[in-house]
Amino acid sequence: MLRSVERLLNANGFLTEGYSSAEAFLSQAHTSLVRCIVLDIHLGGMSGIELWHRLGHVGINLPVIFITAVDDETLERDALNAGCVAYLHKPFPAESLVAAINSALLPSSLD
Amino acid sequence: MGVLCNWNRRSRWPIRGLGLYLLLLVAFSSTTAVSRAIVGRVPRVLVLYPYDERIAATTAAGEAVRARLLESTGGKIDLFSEFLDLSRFPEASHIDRMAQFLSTKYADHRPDVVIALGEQSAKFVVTYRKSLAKDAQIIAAGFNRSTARRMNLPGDVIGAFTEFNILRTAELAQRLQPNARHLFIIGGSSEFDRWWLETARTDLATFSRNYQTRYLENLTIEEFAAAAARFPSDSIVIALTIFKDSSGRNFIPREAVRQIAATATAPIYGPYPTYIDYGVVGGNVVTFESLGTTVADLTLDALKGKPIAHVQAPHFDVADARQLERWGLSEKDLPPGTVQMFRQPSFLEQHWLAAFVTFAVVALQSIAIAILLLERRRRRAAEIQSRHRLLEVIHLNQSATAGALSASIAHELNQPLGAIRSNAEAASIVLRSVSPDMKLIEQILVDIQEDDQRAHDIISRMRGLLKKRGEIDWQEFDLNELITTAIKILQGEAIRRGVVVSTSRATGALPVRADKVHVQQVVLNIATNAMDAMLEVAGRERKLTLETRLTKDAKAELSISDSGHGIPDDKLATIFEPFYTTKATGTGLGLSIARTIVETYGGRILASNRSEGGAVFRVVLPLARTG
Repeated sequence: MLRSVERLLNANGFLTEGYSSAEAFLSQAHTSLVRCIVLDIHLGGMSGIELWHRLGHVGINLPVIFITAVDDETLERDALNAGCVAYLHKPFPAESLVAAINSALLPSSLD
Repeated sequence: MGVLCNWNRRSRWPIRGLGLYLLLLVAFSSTTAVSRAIVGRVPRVLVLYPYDERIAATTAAGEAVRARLLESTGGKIDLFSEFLDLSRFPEASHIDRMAQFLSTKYADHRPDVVIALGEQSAKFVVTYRKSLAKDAQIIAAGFNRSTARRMNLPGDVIGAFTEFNILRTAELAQRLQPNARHLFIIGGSSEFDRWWLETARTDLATFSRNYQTRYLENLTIEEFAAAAARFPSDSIVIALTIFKDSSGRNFIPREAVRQIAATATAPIYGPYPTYIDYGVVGGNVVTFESLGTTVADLTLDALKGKPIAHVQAPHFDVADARQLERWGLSEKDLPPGTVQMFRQPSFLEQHWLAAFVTFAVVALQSIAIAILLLERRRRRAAEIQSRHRLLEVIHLNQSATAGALSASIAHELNQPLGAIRSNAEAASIVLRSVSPDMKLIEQILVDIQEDDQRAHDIISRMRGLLKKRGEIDWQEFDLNELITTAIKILQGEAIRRGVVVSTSRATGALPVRADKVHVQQVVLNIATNAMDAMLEVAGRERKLTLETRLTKDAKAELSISDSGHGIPDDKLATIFEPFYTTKATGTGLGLSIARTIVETYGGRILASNRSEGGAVFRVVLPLARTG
């Protein structure tokens, strides 16, 4: 899945870095270079939601797009209320992801 | 020798006038009594036999007399027997000498009663009564009234007469052969034989009208036998006596009857009991025993001083059972009270107790066997029914599990579907570029194929989970492989619930023989139960561990442990009971079904608590016998 999303974003002209778990991201990613995070909610180990909260705790407020295979209305509502850019259900059309990323990057360009 | 009729035949005494006899009869009224009282001793009775002791007829009658007298007096009686042997020593001089001898012999033992068996004995005692048995009551037996008349029997001699009623014999035959149409009457050529024929003609005059009747007389023994061989089968044959045939040969009648009966093609009847066992079917006769009893009763009355009178010995219908069988005549047609001789008691009559017991035992056994067979059938039907119920319950359980896992299965399915979609869209963008990276396209296609395969595997597992069984599908499989499949099914759910699933497999295969789907259901039931148990556990890592191993006693063991709150000790015993549940939404059937399945395949299921917290369920199954 990770590989397919990366390919999709690359094809749409975005530079990507892929991590297979929240733990890998936390230990390896250079968050200063990152403009937007696409997070799967159900990861092995730490969940995508938890990673987002952690980043928030340490003051990293990057726009987040959640993708998930699981229908969980509570989780979706909480995530949207908490200010995520988009909450996408797999399998999703490429344009919804691209549109979400574009909208995430937009306010930053306005700054 | 020795037929009752023989007692009559040597009569040479002239027949007196009938009128005189009647006068005498009236004058004495044939009633006498022992004149002298018997004081201070037991009574004496002398029995005179006409022949020697070997002659069956007279001996049998005499024995009957003796037996009756001894029985009635309690043995307090003196019985004397003399065998006169008159047929072999008929000379007057010898008879005289014998009379003198007996007079001397009994001089000090004068008998109170003399019983003369047969006409010759009667004649002897009447002739010599003064010297031999003065004052004694004389009782004569074994001949008929007309003979008594002929021999001019004194009035004070009381007779136990034997009258022959040939009509009764004919009627016996008629009862046995109701469909007979011919009647043959056989008689010899002696004076007595002719008397018999004449008597029969008179007595059977009416009876014979119903038949085509023929009197066979004035024939030689060979002619009799030849005629007998040509009797129509629907014939009644009555043999009277043949003391002499037309050629002048003398016979003992029953021997002559035997010769005729040997060739006869129809049943023969006769008026003498001695004919029985010589080929006749039967007849109306005076038996030796009945004659003896009659004589003894007269004697007893005489000894008591009671007046006694002439009597007639009772007649009996007698039949030879062997002859009835020979001619196919029915025992049921015999007149009531008929004495059957040589009757082989039927098997049941002989061994009725053994037969009854055997029958009872066989009957009881049959009933027991029938009950057992019925019971077995019912049990088998019940077993089949219960097996079907079990399979249905397992299927319901499978469906419930599938329902519970559907969300996570859908999630799992969305993974490859999502990947396929992203890959496909990426590929289409790449293809639209000026110089498409064909290598990337190729990788994308490989990934798509792999994801498609993943999706297919998920669907297969789902289908396996829902597979319905009409019968148990026995198969041999490795328990380790089953664990792998089960974990794949549970994986999505475990991830959704944040449960970390770990496994530890035994090295080498653990072959078991069972229905794979059922055993998988056991694993799913225990595992989902374990995951439910960990739901309420906060702040602790949620761990589900599946472990397989080979036990010391060579069995396959699968243990599923969780990091939940464990099972309360008092509930450990009842946890596998149906409808036991701690969950608000549970049916309480999962563990119960798991145990039923495990036991169906000869295994055991155990629950316990781990020292480090959480519960552990152990499923032990026998290893499949390979080879």
